[in-house]
Amino acid sequence: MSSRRSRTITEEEINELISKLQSLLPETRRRGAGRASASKLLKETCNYIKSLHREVDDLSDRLSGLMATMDTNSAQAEIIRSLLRS
Amino acid sequence: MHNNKYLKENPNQPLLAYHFIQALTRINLAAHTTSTKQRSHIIKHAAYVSMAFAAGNKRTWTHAVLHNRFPIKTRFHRLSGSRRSFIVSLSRNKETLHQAHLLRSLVPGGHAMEFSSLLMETANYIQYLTAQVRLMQCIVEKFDMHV
Repeated sequence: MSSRRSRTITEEEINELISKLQSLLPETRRRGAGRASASKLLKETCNYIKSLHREVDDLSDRLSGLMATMDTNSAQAEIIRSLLRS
Repeated sequence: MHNNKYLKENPNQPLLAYHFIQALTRINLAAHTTSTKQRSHIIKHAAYVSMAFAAGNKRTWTHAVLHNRFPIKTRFHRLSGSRRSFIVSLSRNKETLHQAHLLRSLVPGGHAMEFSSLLMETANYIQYLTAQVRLMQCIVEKFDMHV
């Protein structure tokens, strides 16, 4: 079977991906650069994703609570307007 | 090159907002029939669906979210000698293998991806997760003002 050139992964690309992952982590979670810390980077990535999942949970709770008490139309229109402005 | 699109994409914020707010509108219309806790689950589900819609169907993780199952396992790509040795050496490290396994459980569809795809999908997934969190924070702030 012929391997298509566009699909082979080079070492450079792996390094790029790893540093891109590193750059996506917030400052407090970054560690020193270097391939030796690949497992540390993966661990921090896992922790970061878990904390993002928790934030989504928390924000969903808050949105749900707020929905119980608000008048939709005006707030909604305001949100859409302001989000589209940015 | 094919792989570069994973590295350059930024989340489509307006599209994300559009999908999510539409969902919130529907959820709010039925608010009187749902408990706060039920609604929280529905909102959370809507958040992940909006993320997946906005990110598009070309990603493995979006497919896993929208269809609620892992996609068919992707073919392992054959690597030539020297390139393969890098990835093999990376994954011979027990600790790295272990962390990669944990990561696969956190990224939707993660268990069906080969290692380099896992890295790309994770980066993309994190970008959309952070965009979604920012969107929800923004909405909560706005709601808070009007209450």
